[in-house]
Amino acid sequence: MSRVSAPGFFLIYDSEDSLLARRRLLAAKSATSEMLFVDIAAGTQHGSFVARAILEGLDKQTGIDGELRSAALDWAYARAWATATGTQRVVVLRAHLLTAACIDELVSFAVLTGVELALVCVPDDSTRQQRDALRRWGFATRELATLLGEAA
Amino acid sequence: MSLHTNASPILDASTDAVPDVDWTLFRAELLDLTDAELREIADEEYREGFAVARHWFDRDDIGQLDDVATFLVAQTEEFPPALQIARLRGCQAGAFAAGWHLKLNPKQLLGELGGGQRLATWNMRVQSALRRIRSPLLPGVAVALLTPDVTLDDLPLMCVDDLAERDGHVMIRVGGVWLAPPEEGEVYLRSYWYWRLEGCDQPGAPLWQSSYGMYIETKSFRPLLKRLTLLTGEPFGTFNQQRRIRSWSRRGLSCLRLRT
Repeated sequence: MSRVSAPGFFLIYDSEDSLLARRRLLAAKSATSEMLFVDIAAGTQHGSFVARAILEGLDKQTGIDGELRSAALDWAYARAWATATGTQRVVVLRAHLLTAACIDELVSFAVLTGVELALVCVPDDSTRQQRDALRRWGFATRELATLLGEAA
Repeated sequence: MSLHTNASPILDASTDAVPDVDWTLFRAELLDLTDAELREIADEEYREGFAVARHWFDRDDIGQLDDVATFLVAQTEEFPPALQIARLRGCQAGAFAAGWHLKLNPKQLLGELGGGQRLATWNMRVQSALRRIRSPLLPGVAVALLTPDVTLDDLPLMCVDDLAERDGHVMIRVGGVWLAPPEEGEVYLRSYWYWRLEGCDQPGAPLWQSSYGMYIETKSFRPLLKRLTLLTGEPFGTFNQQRRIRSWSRRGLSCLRLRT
């Protein structure tokens, strides 16, 4: 069953959007580890792309095929695998590329699976809708250095 | 400047050649292979069958039909049933390229060749084939079938309620007995279980028939088994397992030298 608990939502500002930090974080990713890194691609507007980014982080095949029509199915896959592999924390890189609706879907994912959600994004590059979404879910701010230290 | 006109198509008989149009149509229509990855697996077997048969049939006299039958048996018997037909068709095309018209009835020949006798087992190849599949359905069903003492006949009778967590492990109930899946496969079964529960499937819903996926309209689980067989190379299911045929020439095979 999905673990429903009170997950933590964190916002981490990468003031330089530094390639080095992203590389270090991605290098630490592992499908079996409790911390899952999700890299958001530019132009991600559909919820299915975010779900597939999570599945990619879990080392699952994600191509563009017929199932792209169903974001609900992709999210169901992501929730099932994240729960089964014992993922405790999901770190979303380049989260400033997400729309407010995608942030909402990520929060739903975190609530239903009981994982901690951390969004890494560039400050001052967010829309009003994004800021509203983050405020609505009560994201707390954390330091990038802390995350890098935990990922190392 | 010269213009290339009247260029005739060149038959590329190398092993890397794209399978011919007959095979392309055959695999789409009869094998119902619409998945690109499965097509690639079947094409690979087809190409290998083509190359071996082209070499073997590169002679003027075949001799006895039994020799051809023996060759075909050797080319296919080690393979799971769903791959046998790909190799058989490849052999047929290879023989044709070498100047022999191999007339065969795959359904009857594959009945003669057998297959499906060996039971699928958990191994590294299976694990690597299942590891990256996005939908939990296929890996979940595979692990259920690979659980010791679970047979193919059990699968249609199993329901969601036959999966449960016991002592920290996901287990399967068959005939009232709880069985442990292969250790490495437990995560796949667990994922499938979560998926079914989250999809609000009823406890009595068939295990193989999920309401989340495309398979809800499937009336049998044979397409699942075929996909598993092609992906893993292990014999899931008993395709083409029919009564044995005594005479090759009478029912399933003939070989004719093409005019050169």
